[in-house]
Amino acid sequence: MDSKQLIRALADRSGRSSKDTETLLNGFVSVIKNQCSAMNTISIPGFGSFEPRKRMERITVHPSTGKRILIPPKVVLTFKMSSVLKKQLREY
Amino acid sequence: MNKKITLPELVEMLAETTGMQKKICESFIKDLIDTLLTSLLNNESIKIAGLGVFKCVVVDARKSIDVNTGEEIEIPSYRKVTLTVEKSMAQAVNSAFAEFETIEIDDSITDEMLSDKTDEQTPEPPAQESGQDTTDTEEIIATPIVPDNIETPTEHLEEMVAVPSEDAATEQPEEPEVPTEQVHDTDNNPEIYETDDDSDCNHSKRNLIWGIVCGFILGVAAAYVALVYFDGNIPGIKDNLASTEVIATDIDTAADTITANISSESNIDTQQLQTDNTVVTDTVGRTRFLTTMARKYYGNFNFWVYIYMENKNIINNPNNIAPGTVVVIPDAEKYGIDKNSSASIAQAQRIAAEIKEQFD
Repeated sequence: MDSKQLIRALADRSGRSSKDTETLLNGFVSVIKNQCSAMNTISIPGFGSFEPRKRMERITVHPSTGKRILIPPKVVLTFKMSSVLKKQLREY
Repeated sequence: MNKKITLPELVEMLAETTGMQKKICESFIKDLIDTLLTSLLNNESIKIAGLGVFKCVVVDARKSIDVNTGEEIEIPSYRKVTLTVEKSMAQAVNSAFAEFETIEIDDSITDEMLSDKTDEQTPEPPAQESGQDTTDTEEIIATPIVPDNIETPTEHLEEMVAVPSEDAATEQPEEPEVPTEQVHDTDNNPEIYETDDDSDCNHSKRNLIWGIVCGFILGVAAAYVALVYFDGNIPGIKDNLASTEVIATDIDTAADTITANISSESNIDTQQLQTDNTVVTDTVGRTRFLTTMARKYYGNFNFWVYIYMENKNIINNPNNIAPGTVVVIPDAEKYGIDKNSSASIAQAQRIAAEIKEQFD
C-alpha cells in the first residue's frame, strides 16, 4: 500500500475529505520529524515507538576495495513495536 | 531532549501543526494505527511519504543459549514489524551529525600507529590542564549570573547555624547583605561555588554551559594534539579538522578493535600452523557455510572458493550443501591464500564469479 492508497483508505474510513486526511498525515510525519530531531521518543500505545538512537563511529573494511574506512557517529530513527503488537503478530 | 512523548501530547502537537481540532486529530491517529495494524497483520507493506515503509517480516527460528542455565534453546520463528526510514527523514534526524563524512583511512597508517596513539593520550594531560585553566577564568566570568540563584541556599545555611529559631519572615530583609559577602568569597575561593551550586535548582543549566565549554576546549586540544602528531602522515585527515577530532576522541574504541583484530589474527596463525601437520576437516551446518569456514581459517570469506575446489568431488552445488557434509580445509599455501594481499582476494573473487556462472 503506498501513501496515496493509505490516504484514500483513511478518508473512506473516517468520512473526511482526502485533502484533510493528507494534511493530517503530513502533520503526523512532521511531528515525528521535529520531535525525533530533538531526540524525543514518540510512543503510540498498541503500536510501537519511534526512537532516535545514537550510533557510535566505527572502523570497517570496505568489502570490495579492502580499504579501512572510518564511519562517523550518527543518529538513526528506529521503530520498536510494542509488546501488544508483538503478541498480536504471534497469535494471528 | 530524551523526552518520551505520549499519545495525548502527540495529539496536541498534531493539532498545533495542522490547525485542526484535537478531536479530529485523535480519531485520525486511531484510524491510522488501526489501518496500519490490519494491513501489517495481513503481511502488507505500507509506505508513508516522508516517513518510510512499514513491513512485516518473518524472523527464522534460530538456536540460542539460555543465559541463565546455559542450555541450548531454539527461539521459534516469529514475525516483526520493521520501519525502513526514508532518506529525507533520516537526514532530518541525523542533522546534528550531518557534517561528518566517512573517511578512508590511509594505508600509511598502520595498526600500530593507531594503537600508539592511545599511548599518546598520556602526554595529553598538560593540554587538559591548560583547558582547565581557561575554564577557571570562564567560571569567574560566569559568576555574575550566579549570585542571584545562590544567595538563598547559603543564606539559609548561615541562618540555620547562627540563629536556628528565627522566623522565615525575618530572613528576607537580611538577603541584600548576602550578595556582597559572596562577592568576597568568589575573590578568595571560587571553589565554594561548586559546592553551593549542587544545592541550586538552576545548576543543571549552568552545568550544561560548563559542559559545552569544557567539551569544546578538550575537543580542540585533542584535535591539536592529533594534528601535530599526524602532521605529514595523513593528508586526507589534515584537511578536515572535524574528522581528526573524531579520530582523536575515539582512539580507545579504535585501539580496542585493532587489538581484537590482532588477537584474532594470531589465532588464525596458530590454526594455520596446525593445518601443516594434520588434515583439517569441518562440517557444514545450517548456519555454517563455506564462507564461514573461509573466514575462520583464512581470515576472509572470499576464500571459500578454495575449500570448494578442494572438495569438488563431494560438493555438487556450492549454494546448496547438505548440512552435515564434512569438507577438507586445504592448506593456505596450497592455493596461495593470503588475506592481506588484495591480489589474492581478487583472484578468489574471480574464481567465485566463474563458479557462480556455472551454477546459475
